[in-house]
Amino acid sequence: MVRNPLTLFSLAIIGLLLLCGLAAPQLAPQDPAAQELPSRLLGPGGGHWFGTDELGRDVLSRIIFGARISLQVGISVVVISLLVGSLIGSLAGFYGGWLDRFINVIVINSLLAFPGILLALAFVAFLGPGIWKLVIALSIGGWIGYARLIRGEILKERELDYVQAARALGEPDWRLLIYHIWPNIVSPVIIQAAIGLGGAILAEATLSFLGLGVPPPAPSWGTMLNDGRAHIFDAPHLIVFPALAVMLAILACNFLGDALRDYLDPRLNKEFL
Amino acid sequence: MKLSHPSAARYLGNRLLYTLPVVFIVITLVFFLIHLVPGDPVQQMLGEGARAGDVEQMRRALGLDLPLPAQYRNYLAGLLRGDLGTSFRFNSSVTGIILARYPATMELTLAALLVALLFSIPAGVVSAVHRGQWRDRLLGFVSLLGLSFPNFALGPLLILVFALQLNWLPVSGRGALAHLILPALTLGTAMAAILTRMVRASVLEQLGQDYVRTARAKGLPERVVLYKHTLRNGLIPVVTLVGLQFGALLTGAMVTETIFSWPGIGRLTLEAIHARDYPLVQGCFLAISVTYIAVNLLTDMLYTLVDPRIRQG
Repeated sequence: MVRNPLTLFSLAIIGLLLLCGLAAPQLAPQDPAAQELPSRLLGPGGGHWFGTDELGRDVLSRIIFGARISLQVGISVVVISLLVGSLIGSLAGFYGGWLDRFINVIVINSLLAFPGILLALAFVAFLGPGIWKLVIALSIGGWIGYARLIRGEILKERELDYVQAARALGEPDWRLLIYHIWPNIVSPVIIQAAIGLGGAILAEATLSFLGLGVPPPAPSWGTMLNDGRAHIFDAPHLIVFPALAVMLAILACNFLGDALRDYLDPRLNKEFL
Repeated sequence: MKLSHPSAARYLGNRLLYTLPVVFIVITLVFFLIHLVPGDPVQQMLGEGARAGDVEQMRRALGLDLPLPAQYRNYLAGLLRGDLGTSFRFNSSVTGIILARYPATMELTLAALLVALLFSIPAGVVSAVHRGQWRDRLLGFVSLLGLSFPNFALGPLLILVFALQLNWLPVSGRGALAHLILPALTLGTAMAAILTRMVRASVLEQLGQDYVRTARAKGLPERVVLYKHTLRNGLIPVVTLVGLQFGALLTGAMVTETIFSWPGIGRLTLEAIHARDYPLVQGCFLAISVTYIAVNLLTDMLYTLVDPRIRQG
């Protein structure tokens, strides 16, 4: 898996993101909130590699701290969505019957009637801004994808001979699920989680761009892009650097998802890259 | 292959019946979501320094003093008459405001869909035919790049290059066809990328089928095999994906409309959210959700038409 250069690239980017996230205060050349009005809107170069914004803040430092916000929101949303989705999807898929009909037909389909991020937008719009409110808002719609996937996989597995055999040996339901079925369905879940991380990072940046995500002065990439739009004529670097940061982060997650798919599930290998 | 029409009609009838409760749940969810969260729209409208008497009077005038179940009942009753209430901010009918902005959003999303289809179908076919070769790899890379480039980053960059540096296209606004190009590209790129991957996978799957081998064995030219036989079947799953992705287009429209000052529902929704204009937010969410549900229903109908096997299911 790691022989593919694109996989290496994605691992390097994700490693860099993690490094920025964990060691932002040590890595950032300046305080991301420190304003230096005399040196506002400086282009890249000199003392500021990525230039400065309209308040004279160092763009590179803000991008490094922005990685921390992206990862914090992204990982939290994936973990919460995965936990809730696993629980609900497992129950629906394993027990079937009215529980499955209720979860699948009523809850999941109704929530899917909202187009993706609109649900999060509705919550965040009225909960108000804030990182954890954003995480909750994104998780409210985020678990559905995992629940659907897990439900479908468990539905397929539970009829197979090995599950029937384990059941006949008197294994309780929870052991059947955790020790027998889950190890066989974990691959597609991991793939979805990798792609979901990119999706959550994108959603955070989108909502922040729309002014409904992480409140200023926190340096979210989406907020930086939105602020930069006002200076598209005189300081295009304010758009270019955050845009590249978001793109690289999402690209890395998507590459990783593809690479994991090829590695973990060769049957799905479409040899696209 | 021939199937009776009643089965198709029954299938679609069932789908329609199933859609109605979903619309009802969406309406209810949006209503309570908006009303149960903290924040007073009247206070927001009149400002922090407003007198208590004025606030009370305004609240009564807008029907916000009633208990929540009564407000919900009034809202549903209005909805049945096609009345979505009155916008706090514009002081005019929400239905009217939405109807005035709706065509702009439809124009943008359909143009984006066109951009996506025009790129993805040829690109997906070329990728599948040249599987594993450099063209396939290049298109694969480009589509993954397109998928990873968020529209709020792409839009300003396109403005920077095509409107400011090259001066070819207008920066923002709605009007001539030239105004539509950059917003449609911004909105359509991600969908083009997703569809390219889907068309490729689907055509590849079809190419391995017996009927393709038979068609080739009959001596049909490769072009005919590809476009007349393979692509027709290969596009069936793509139809579903278009329906599902339409929701992404509708929400993407919020960002795109904001970037390009496009006077559609997306920008209206955001303006309404920032102004805490409850009836307008409710109306916008409802319009977007109903459009999404309707497009999915339409996709299902189209799917039933192109793939008769579904009707029996």
